[in-house]
Amino acid sequence: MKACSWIITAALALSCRLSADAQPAGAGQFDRAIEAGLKRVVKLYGGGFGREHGYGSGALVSPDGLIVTTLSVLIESPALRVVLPDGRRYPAKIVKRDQRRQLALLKIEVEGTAYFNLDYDGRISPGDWVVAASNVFKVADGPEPVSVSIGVLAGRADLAARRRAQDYGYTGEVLITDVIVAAPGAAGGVLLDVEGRFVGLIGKPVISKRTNTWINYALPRAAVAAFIDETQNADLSEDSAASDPATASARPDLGLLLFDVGGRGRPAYVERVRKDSPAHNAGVRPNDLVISLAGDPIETCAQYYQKRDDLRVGDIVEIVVKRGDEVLTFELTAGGRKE
Amino acid sequence: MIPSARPWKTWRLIRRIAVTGLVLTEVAAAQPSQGLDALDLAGQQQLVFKQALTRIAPSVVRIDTIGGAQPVRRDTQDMSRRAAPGFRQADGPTTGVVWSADGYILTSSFNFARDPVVITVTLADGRKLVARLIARDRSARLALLKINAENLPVPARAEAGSLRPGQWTLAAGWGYGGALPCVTVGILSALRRMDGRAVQTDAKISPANYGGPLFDVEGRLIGVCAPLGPGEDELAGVEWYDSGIGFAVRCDFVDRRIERLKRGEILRRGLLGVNLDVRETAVGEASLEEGASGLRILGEPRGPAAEAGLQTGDVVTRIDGMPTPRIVDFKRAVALKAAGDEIKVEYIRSGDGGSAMLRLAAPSDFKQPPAATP
Repeated sequence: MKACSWIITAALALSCRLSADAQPAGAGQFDRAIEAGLKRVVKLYGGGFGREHGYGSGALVSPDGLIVTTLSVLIESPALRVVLPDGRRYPAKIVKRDQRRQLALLKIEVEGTAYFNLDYDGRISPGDWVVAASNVFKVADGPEPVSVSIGVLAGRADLAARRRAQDYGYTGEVLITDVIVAAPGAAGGVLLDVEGRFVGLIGKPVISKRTNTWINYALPRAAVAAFIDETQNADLSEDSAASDPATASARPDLGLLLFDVGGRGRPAYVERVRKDSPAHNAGVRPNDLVISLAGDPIETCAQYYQKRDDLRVGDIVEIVVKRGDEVLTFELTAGGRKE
Repeated sequence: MIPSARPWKTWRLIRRIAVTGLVLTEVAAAQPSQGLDALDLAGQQQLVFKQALTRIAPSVVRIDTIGGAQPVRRDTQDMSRRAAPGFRQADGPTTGVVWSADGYILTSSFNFARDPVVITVTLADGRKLVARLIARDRSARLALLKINAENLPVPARAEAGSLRPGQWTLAAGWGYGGALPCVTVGILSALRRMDGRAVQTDAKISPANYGGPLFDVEGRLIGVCAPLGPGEDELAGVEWYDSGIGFAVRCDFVDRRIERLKRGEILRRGLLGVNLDVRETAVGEASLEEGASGLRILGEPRGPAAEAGLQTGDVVTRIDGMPTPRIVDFKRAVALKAAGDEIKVEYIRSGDGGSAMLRLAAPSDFKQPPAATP
């Protein structure tokens, strides 16, 4: 009995010792991931503004002080500083930004830190464990380890989101998780698999336009790696097709005239289909109700026109219509109409 | 670089244990190579989650709706009007579960709070069909759709009696779009909540999976995810989304309602029209001279209770044969039925037993809102 309590005390001492060192070693299923996260996620402090918080997280991606994080007001501060997991503080400067991916690369003058290897091309699928590591709510201070939580990869989907009243810039595919990471300070933190490998970078808190709820997501490893590998500042990159002079003057056109007598919320019923137009050739007919265009639901005439105007001449898109009790999907190529 | 750190890490652990002393070495010996086993365990768990998802996936359908307006607060005459303040319904896809092979899809009425003009169902095999909204169960936030299809894959059911708190539960939903439904994982938190209608889980439940399945690691259906706040407002309860407090309406509860839903009836909470003495339930049971226990009727019975001849001071001992020593038992027994259903009330009056059959009324059948107890 006495020996038994001895061992329990010793076990407690061991676990306390390990956690105090922030170096758990082989006791639980998530130890390896947690250790990887705690050694490679940094705390960011900078300027807050209005409802933008003055703190955040970042991920070390090189041994010489490159840190990837999300674009924010925080990093624009001249007083931007980085606190490494061991508590050392460094001023940081911005190497480059990417508006499209909403990412930024920072640099501090340091050598020999642990870092995430983004070259690993592992597969992770919905239902796999993930560990999130970030300084959410700036709970950790100085050398204190950042916060870790577990959950699973929920799935993948393109991000259709808004931040406050505005549409959010990132529209590519993201990783969705059931770990609550849509919280102040978590952005720039990491999602890792159980082996501790980098899976994604936690994005800024945004509201999904599909659910009107906060969506817990991370930018996939490949997108983060592509951003880091790009040599040039992506700030000024323009959408090449939009600036193509051959198509710039043509407005996209499908050949549909809707039954639009004005007023809000008018459903997108087709009144006429112009002969030999893309819609005509695809098989759309008068009295069809357009319910989706290019993957987005269409509820009103106004939404149809807006979505159509967002197309580019030559885009191959799907149009879904309701005809009686049938739902029909057609593929068509957006035509152009000169102004 | 992290995988290569593995042997080095292990070696450092061994070295640390060696210098820390004899007792710690004993502890380490009692847990040989536990790190590797733990990692294997994690791998096995996630494999199980994925298999469960694969099994139920054919029965999880995507629902798209077109048209409809933002819901206005209904005058439901119950306490629900302040529910879900400020939440606006989005227009993204939602989720349903194949309930029967002949085309009935069970989902949450949350998804149709906007009274959409067009509803489509996309089956797991890719077929997209127009659906009809057959009925809603306002007390359990359910909706029943019908599509013209045969031989649909009905999910296996987790036996109600086998459920236990702490077991793994998963939820799946189409709310975020994507090529596959998103999955969330947690445990079963409680077996009976919301008057016994639902199980509770800490898997994340939200508009992204309302109407979708809650299922076990074998891919067997436990219930249908729904927001279950107080009252009958379709958006009530959404304020708890992703909080770790989530609900799924139990399959065995649905079984009691499904025939009425198939007939196209809108089901409401059923009320007897009595106020009960809750004081006595606060200490557990109301003791009676006869040794039985029950709930004493306070004030004048109204509606169905008055019509059935129940009187002030009667002690209700059983509802549909189920003993009602405490208010929670009474609520659960009544909640199994809906407004319009017949229910048997057994009571004791002045030492004599009696019973009555009555037909439950809906909240709107009372001019004055009844008190909090049904």
